[in-house]
Amino acid sequence: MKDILIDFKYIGIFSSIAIVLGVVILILSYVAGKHKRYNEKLTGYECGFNPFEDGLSRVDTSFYLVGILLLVFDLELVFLFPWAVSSSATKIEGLFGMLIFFAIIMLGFVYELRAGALTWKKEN
Amino acid sequence: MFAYFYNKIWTDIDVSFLQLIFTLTFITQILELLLLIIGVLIGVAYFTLLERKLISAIQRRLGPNVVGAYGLLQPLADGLKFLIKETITPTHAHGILFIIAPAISFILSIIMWVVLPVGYNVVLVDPDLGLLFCFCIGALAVYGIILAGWSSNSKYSFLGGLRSTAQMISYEITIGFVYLCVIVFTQSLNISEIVYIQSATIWFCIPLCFLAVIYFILILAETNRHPFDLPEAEAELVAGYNVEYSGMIFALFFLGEYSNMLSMSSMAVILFFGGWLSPFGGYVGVFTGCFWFMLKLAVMLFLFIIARAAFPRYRYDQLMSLGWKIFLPLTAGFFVLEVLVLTSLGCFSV
Repeated sequence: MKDILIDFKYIGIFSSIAIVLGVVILILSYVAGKHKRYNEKLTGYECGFNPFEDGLSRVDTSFYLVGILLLVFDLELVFLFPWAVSSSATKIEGLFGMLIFFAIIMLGFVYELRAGALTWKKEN
Repeated sequence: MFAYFYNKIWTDIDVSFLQLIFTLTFITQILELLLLIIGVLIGVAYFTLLERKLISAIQRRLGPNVVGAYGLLQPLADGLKFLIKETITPTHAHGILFIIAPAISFILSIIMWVVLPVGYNVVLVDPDLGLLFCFCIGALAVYGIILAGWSSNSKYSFLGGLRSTAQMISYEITIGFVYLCVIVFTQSLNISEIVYIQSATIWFCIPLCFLAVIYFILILAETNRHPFDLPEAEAELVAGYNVEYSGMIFALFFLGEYSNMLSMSSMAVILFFGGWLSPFGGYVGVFTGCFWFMLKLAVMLFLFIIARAAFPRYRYDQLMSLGWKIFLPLTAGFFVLEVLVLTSLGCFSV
């Protein structure tokens, strides 16, 4: 059994190097480039018009629905990972436990499918 | 025990020598990490050149051929040009978030590489939870995109960011199921272990060929590539979440995206095509494990580029229903099927 913390210490060092690199590139981008700013250049992109409303005003709710569904399924996945790693140790009991859990989630999935939560709204 | 070593160290070995050793190992570790990062960045640069050359060949054009012989210096020239371009921060953008979003995207895509083995023992860190680590880092990559889309405060980038996020999180679930199917075989989340088990048995692309194909389609969608590049559908959203970005901070997004593409393809090679294993058994001369890994990776990347050149783009509702209604039930069903087949073969019995 390896010491798990040593691995993650190394990953931490690597991550900090990556972060430093990212920050250096960010700083470089503001230092090395030329800067000639005027009002027109600093407005938001809007195909030549002046933007007449805030960009973040209205959002389709379907996106929120996808976010909520993700939570359910991602949690399910995270619960299945430990079973998959230890499935030869937990034997048939673990298998049946997993299958019952899986069936409940899939029941929910079928309900979502039937209720039309997964059908992307057609615009018309 | 401890006292014995304590005495041994402090009497037998010179203290300054010990410190020197510690410093040297630390410096070599840092150098290794830097080498990895530089390797990834050069790989990304030349992947873009390969992409441009191959697509131009498919479309019967010449492609970049002016800078250096056969355009070989083109990526470096591009990088330099990115550097000297002006970085514009629009006045109505949410300052600090606007700046750190591309950095998040870039940093996460680089961190992914630290656990990927490219040869026998050629890996920087080999944690027992390697696959889970990759899964988590891949999930975090959404933050760079949603922050960029939101903080630009522009309709195009916001819509592009939302679309991209919804697409990535939908396909992430399915990718999780694919990982699950593999680790039921290996009983381990250690990435090297997955390859060891394939060398002892068989490449997983043979029993799981169905999943290997699905995984390839999924990583096309997960990295926002053609034919699933809805976030930057040029005809409708201009450039998606990075419409307000310019200069080097745009290049950060670009590098992050391509580095993600390379790491996800490496993952596919490791999971299904035996990682660094030679298809003929032994390793002869220059055909080392790293060579075979790179060869398989190159084939995957060719497929990526050919998919871009050959297929038209999906419509957004088609894309979402493909993810939720086809791939998710398929992979979940395959997972149950695989588990039941393993049970019938006696893998989980007492």
